[in-house]
Amino acid sequence: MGRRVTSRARHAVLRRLLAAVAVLWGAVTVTFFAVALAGGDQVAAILGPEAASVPGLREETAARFGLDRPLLAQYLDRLGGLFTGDLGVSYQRGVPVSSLLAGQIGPTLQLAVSAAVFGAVLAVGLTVLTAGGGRVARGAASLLELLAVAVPPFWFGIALLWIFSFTLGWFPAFGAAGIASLVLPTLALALPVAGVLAQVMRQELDVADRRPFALSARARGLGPKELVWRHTLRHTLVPVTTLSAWGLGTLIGGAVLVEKVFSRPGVGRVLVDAVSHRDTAVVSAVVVLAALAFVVTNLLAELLYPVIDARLRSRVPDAAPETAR
Amino acid sequence: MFTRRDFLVRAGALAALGAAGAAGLSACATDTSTGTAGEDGATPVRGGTLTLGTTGEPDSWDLHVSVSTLSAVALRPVYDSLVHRLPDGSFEPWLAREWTVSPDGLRYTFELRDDVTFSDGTPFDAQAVAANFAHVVAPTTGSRNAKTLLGPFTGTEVTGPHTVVVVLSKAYSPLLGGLSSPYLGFHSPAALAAPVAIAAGGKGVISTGPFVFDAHTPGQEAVFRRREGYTWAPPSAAASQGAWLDGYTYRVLADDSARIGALTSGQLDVADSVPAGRVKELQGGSGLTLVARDTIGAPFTYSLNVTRAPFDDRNVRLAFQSSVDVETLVQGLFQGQYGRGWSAVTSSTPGYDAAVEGTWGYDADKAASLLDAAGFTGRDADGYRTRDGARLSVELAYAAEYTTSEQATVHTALQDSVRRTGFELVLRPLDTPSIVAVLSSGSYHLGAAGPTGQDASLLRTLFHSTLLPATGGANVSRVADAEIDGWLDSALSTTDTTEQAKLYGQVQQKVIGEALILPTYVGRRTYGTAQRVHGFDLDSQNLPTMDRAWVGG
Repeated sequence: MGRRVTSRARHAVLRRLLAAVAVLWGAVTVTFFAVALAGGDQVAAILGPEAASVPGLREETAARFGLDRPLLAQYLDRLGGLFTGDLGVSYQRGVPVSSLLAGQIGPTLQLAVSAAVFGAVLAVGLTVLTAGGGRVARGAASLLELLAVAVPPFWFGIALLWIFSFTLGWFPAFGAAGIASLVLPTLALALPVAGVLAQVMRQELDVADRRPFALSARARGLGPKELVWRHTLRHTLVPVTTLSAWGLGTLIGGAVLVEKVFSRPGVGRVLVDAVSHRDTAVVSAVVVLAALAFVVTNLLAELLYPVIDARLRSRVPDAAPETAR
Repeated sequence: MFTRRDFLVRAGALAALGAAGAAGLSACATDTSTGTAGEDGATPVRGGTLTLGTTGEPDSWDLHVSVSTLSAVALRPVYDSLVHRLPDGSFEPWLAREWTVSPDGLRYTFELRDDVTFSDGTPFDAQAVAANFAHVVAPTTGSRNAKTLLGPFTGTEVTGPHTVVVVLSKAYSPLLGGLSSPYLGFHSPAALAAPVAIAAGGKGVISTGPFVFDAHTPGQEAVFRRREGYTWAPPSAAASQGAWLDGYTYRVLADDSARIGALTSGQLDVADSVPAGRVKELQGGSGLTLVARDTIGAPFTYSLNVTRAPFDDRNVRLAFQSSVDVETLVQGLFQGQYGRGWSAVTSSTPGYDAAVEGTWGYDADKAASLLDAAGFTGRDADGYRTRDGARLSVELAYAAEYTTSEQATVHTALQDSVRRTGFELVLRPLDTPSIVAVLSSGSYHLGAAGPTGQDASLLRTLFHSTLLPATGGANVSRVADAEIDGWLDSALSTTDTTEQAKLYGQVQQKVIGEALILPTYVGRRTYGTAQRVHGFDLDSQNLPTMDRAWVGG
């Protein structure tokens, strides 16, 4: 049995690795062709309207970066470069892509992780607090969750800035130095995350509440909050983990508006700028990063499932997990 | 958005500052600054740093490459020029002690100072100048702006350790103006060996100026510190013992609300580009001083494409020009923050011809009779004029990404204005490749831009028949007029400023008379400064000088 588990584990790991590579390759390919084929002259987009009219500059730029070669050749070059870790040179700025991204990755990850974690904590807190509450409490909670999802993060970010930075002066308005600069952007991004997670949790809780074990627990005298905390909360954690992993992945590249409002370094901002200038070198590098983030967070989530839900542990290989719902 | 809206910043950015007390340019008069930081008579103190918030990061930190105003704004105090431009448009010595121009205008001989060094210790000499100009024109550099400033440059001759001759293939009077701009500043020859390090910013940027580029975080901040031993400021720079500040930092705060809020809450000392709508509110409060000057260059101007019907008919163009009450429009949109333009260049631009003022304006009756004369006598159901059943419809093509919200509101207001006379104005926002293609091919009726420039030599880029958008110019009206070409060519070959003023004046009068353009507002770049900032000033090219700024109390 030991040998079977090991080879199975090995197969699983190999499958996951291949899947990860396929995801990365797919992401790079799709974005490369999407940006390069977006229509119109790519070099004009790189240079901007004023520089594009300087005589001879478009041809020189195209020659310098190999943009006059067939698209397939450029694509294969890009793939080859990414494979060997050479991220290339930004067409727009003429500097190595790695130097453009170097200072951005850390702060982006910081913000994404803290927003995802804080959002999850908020959601759990709200759910636990309103567990067993009457119609009013549940209605109010639902409304809050809806608002949290509907409010645009950048608007909320500006509001937070106004209150806590400009008026009260508690937090800085820009930069990425220290915890103080992380607080407001995290709040702004965590809110929609918390809203979505709370909605999902509430649904799962409702389902779990109707299970026989919940009834017998209540019959034994367990209060609603204890019931949630000790038993039914765990039932919500699997979908919450899935959603958090997805949320974290999107926050890597998708926090661009909050990054702009709080003047934080971030790959989202770099990506938006690169796309608008059709700088495929930078776009490919950022996309690889973002796809990598997705792959890693999904892997982590998959590793967490057996930890959360004992039914998903495959210690007894030939017993099927209970999925009675 | 992003951050680098270079064309937008260049094209009619809110130009800045009238330094009170500067020798008058005619009509620097619309100065709404509540006082110039530094007039308070307090004694400057040495030391301290300044934090400035700006709108974005330049496209490149290599001034030889960059086309963005942001690079010039941040790097003017780091780079010196061969000559220094005074507010009245004349030039005084800077890195060049003296210069002579050959009678045919093809050879400019510069005698350089012999006491100048780059911040890495390399001496500044004729070889350095030659190496730098070679870098500007080299194809591998990909210069987006500096190369055009050199005009018909063919090469440099080094005739002595501190004597250099710039050789042109044709007479080119705007050359000195170009040489006074930071875009033709000088990198240390050692730095030129690694041009990528220059473009990336930070310690790779090495020049001769009173400040040194110390550190750079991409997209976030640029840190500069004072250079000790700087003794070659131009004569007009008062008491040049080097700068008062220990250093200054530029932080990128792209969001307008965030930047202004950071200024008012004391987290920034200076905020660049205060939006027009926020100026009144900031003028009131908490010791802030606003420093603003009109753009040097062109007002935000609509150009009418004379090669495409109906604007190939002069009457229709004049009717269009007479359909807009520019004064009211500008007043209404910007609450008096911006003035209106009368000519192809602004009143702060050396070579502006004041005789153009009042020669055109809103006249609904004139517009109506002109359109009748052109055959647009019918009206359709929506109220637009028609000729033989075809509606009088014109299209404005503009670059969506490089248009500020202020400019976009002017487009809409224009649409509304001309509607009353019977023009249908269709707005056509385009992405960058499309606008480049449309401007090259000429398939538009109207273009809009507010380019900055040194002086009235900008008129050549705007109206010479050989300088169409596809061939390196900005002749969006696609005019090919022998008389205008003649005046512009003559102005190139004379260095007599009175003669130039006369020629450029004739061009300005004709382009208005032929209704090639419709100037609207004159932009300003407004800087907000905190109470502790003194001596923050802009030079004659509207760039912060930083060497007279100090902080205290």
